[in-house]
Amino acid sequence: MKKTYIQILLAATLLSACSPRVADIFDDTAVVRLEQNRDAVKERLMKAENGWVMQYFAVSDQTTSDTLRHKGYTFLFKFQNDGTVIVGAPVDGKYKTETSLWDIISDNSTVLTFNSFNSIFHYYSNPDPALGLWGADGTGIGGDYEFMVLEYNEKENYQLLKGKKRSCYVRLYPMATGQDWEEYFTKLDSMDKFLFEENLPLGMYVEAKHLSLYNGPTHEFRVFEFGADTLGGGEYHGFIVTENGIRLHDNEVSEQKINRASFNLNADKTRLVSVLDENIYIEMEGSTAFESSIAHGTVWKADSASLTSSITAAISTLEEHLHNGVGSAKGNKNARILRVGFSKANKVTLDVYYSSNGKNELKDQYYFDYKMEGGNIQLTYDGNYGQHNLINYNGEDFVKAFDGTYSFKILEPFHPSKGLQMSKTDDANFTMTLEQ
Amino acid sequence: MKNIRYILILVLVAGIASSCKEKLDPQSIFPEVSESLDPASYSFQLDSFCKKNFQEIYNVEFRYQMQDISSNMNFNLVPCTYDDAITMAVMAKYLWWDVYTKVTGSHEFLQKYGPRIICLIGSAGHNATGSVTLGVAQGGLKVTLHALNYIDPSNVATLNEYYFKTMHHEFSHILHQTKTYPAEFRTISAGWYKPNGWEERSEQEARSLGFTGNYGSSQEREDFVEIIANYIVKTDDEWASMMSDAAKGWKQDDNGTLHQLEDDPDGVDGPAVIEQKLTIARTWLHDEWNIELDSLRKEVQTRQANMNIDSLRNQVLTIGTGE
Repeated sequence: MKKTYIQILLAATLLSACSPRVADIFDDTAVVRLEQNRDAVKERLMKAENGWVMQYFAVSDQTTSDTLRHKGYTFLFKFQNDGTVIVGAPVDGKYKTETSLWDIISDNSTVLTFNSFNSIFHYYSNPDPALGLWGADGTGIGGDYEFMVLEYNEKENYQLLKGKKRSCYVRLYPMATGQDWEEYFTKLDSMDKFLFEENLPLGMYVEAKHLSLYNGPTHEFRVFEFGADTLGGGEYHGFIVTENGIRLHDNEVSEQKINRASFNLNADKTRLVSVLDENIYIEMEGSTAFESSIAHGTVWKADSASLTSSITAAISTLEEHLHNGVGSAKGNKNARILRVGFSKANKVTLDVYYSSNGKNELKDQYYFDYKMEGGNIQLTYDGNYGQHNLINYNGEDFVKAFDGTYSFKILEPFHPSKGLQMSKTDDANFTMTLEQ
Repeated sequence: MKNIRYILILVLVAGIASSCKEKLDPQSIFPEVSESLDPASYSFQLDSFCKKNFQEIYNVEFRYQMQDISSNMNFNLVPCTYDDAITMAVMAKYLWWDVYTKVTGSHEFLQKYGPRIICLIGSAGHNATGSVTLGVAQGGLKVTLHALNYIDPSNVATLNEYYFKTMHHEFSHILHQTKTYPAEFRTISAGWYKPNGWEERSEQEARSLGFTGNYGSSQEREDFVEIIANYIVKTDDEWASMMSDAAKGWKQDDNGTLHQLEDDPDGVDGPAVIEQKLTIARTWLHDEWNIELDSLRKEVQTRQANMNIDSLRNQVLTIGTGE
């Protein structure tokens, strides 16, 4: 009997938990709140007088694929009250606009959908293999056109969206009032050209790490630890060119920790600096530019007017030997050293251009081992050469004068081809400006 | 005695539980939705047409604004253009709803058995095998049509292949899922179906085996609906050409090139088998559905031959707007 009382008491205690006297957490039902959120989002999108800039990524950096690319794309949108949206973007290099339908719907959250076909925007989600896009299996570029509407970032003034299918983060920034849409893309093109025209790797400094960023012109960095073997591997990071610089994809995770970062060009246009931390920045490094350009066959020639005293002294000594002769090598008063430069044969090659009669131009080539040392390059003559006529005139002394560690300075930011200053770290008078 | 004690406890618990139910608020939690269309909306004309011709008569939702949850999420798909949706809406009415309504004599047949939702998708459904899915019927309720962005109203053969054959095909599925087809159909091509790898058969090889095409050779139920759909949409010449293929022997070489053989080594009398299947389908439609397949075909063929797409589209484009 006692057991029965306990059982009844237990049941009554448990059931007391279903008392209806619980305060409501929200003022309205979930459906009403969803409806209110939908209306608020719709109003916000339509309110932007000059529309929105969408910074769009088709697939996340975490997507591993031989065919899908991680790069970003820019679209402009004007959401209108009649249910249409005007989409603007370059198509095959030519600016174009097209109107289609849009809506804000309730799905697994408030969702922005572009629900009728727009050839500009849906190109990035179109599965048709006939378009010749990456992936002949019906994946296309792999993008989304339905987006969960996440928070509005008041501080940076953007609406964050997340692709429903690919989970890519996409940002919508209000377009500045009065900004012509086509002109906006011209600005982006100018920034793109400024940063990546020379197609050389960039250096990135993040949390004591020094990284090398390759493939900038593709808008998909291939990232390596500085100095690592770049033949295989690397981490892919898509980015988008913005008015002020670039923005990497909103990644959740990255081994190299280059996540969630917009980078704006600094005042003197020498660096792209993270908006989150000024100690994180990207720049084109002179030494890397020199090494990479040499490796890809660039021929550098020193501007004769830029040569400083230590170099001109070495040239004068060599010319003296040419004029007077050395041992069995006869002198020639008309011989001149025309200029020096660097190129690639099998290593870093010192090119010495000279003339025996003031008319014809000849070239000797001397090979140097090179070693990257932080932001510097150490050059050491290895004793080998191609054409080597000057050797007979104590030319080896001249060549060995170029042994040393050099620092490099890009004279026009992100454009080393327009001037790369090269100086010995232990002799400020051994300085020259290289040009292509 | 112990059992009685437990029963008493259960009764007591049930009594207490029923007493703690909260009274429901009689007011709906869902916001009231207006049924009227907004004349200022860009899509007002098409929405009005669909409401009047599909929703109000057949209780059909013509869903042309794509939602991925209402499509097959395994495919990568894109919406159709608004303009192509207009073209499909007027053609679907002209070549499908109006046909069945005329042949059956009233709206009632489609009101009862027709699909409730038509979904339009701009792209095809691309399968990993390289084949494409042009349409899907789900549970007799929804028919999804793919590849709307490739619609060309001037090309009847393509219209049929991409859309209307698909609609007849999918609707036939709905019908046989409601009243199954005769058991004798199951025995005709038993052993020749190839659920995996039907794509490897050419259309001609499949016809020689007694199918109307390679997809029909995938499964028995697909065979049944393909017989009906092909018979409805193919012209006499197209049907005769198909039967001619069926009477011959075919073989693909290692490069996939198709060769006609002097004899027909598969041992199947293709035309006779197709005719046998067609007779079963014709009888089944008559007996179970009171539909004359040949009348249905004649109505479709006549309409196909006389279709004026501009005139049809004007049914939408001349609807007054709020402008």
